[in-house]
Amino acid sequence: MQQSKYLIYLAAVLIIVIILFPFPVRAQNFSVSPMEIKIDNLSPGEEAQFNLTIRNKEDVNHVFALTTYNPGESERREGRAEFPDESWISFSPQRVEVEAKSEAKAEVTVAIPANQKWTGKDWEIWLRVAPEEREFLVVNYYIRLLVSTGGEVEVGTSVGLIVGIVVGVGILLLACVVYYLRRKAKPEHLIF
Amino acid sequence: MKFGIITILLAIILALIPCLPAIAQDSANITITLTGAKESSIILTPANWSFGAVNPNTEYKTDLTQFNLTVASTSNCNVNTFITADDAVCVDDSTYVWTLSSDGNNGERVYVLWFKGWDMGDYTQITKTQTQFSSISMAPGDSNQFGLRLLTPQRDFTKGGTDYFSVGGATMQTHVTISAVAA
Repeated sequence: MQQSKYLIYLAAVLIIVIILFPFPVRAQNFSVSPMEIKIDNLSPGEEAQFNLTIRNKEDVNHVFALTTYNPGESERREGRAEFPDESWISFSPQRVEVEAKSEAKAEVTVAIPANQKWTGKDWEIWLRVAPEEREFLVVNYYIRLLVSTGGEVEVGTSVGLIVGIVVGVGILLLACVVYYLRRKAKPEHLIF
Repeated sequence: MKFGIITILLAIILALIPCLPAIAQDSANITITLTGAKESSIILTPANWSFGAVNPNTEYKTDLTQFNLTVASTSNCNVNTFITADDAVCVDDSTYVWTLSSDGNNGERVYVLWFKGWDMGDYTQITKTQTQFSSISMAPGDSNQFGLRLLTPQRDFTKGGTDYFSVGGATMQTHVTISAVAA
């Protein structure tokens, strides 16, 4: 009787239990390179591009998400300030599918807006590579991105070119007008 | 006539001058340096783990050598490591969530998670904000064994003197993330 009472208690406990986490044993095995990128003399108004490589060392395909992360002051390199705006960094593609036992690349673009206040800065931000299919234990990688801006603001290439062409055409027209007026002002020669 | 041609040529040259800075800026001297390791790889085993059946407001511990974090010997730079975790979500009913505690106390639908390296003095709480996993940077070939401690939430309700979760028999799933960055 006592034994069956314990069995009832045991059953009651089993009913209320929650099972945490499935448990097939497997390792997460992928890598990224490079681990650190330093961009020097990037003037506001300019952009820089580089590639990240993700290697999938497992037997199944994986999709990796690329995002940015602003680390705390204690985690940044000495003398580096927080990156002002994460939207200045873009990934192409943002999600990278890597087949089993192979590698894939993603292009990263860093574009600083043309503004005098962003000149002469030293910033740091981390690029995060994270698998989308996550198990209980997940590995993420951070790539340190160190950006130092130049001392001058660069006007965008297309804007500069358009302004240049407009001014040039203006000068050309002015020259034509001057030439036309000079010709008109010349006395006509009479032939006898 | 000659004077006119020369004037037009000079005008064209003058017209090109304002374009020069715009064209020249394409060759600005930006330096991109890819430093550190060509590749860094950390391996976490096992990727999955189950605490099994758990009761409300009860503590569970894994063995301190249950999990192993290794920096692959093929890496060629030291790494700093961080740990963080998420809320636990019911696999069958995503509206039933256990929030990860931020202050070390459990509560109704609030659970607590800690980790401890085999050579560490005490357990360290894991929160949604990443904290340092290893106090020193790990070199290629280094390994760190660690265990987890779980404190489940308090009961959702009591019936007949027994504490219950409102989703008895279900599976709760969370993620513990270990991140690596070049030291």
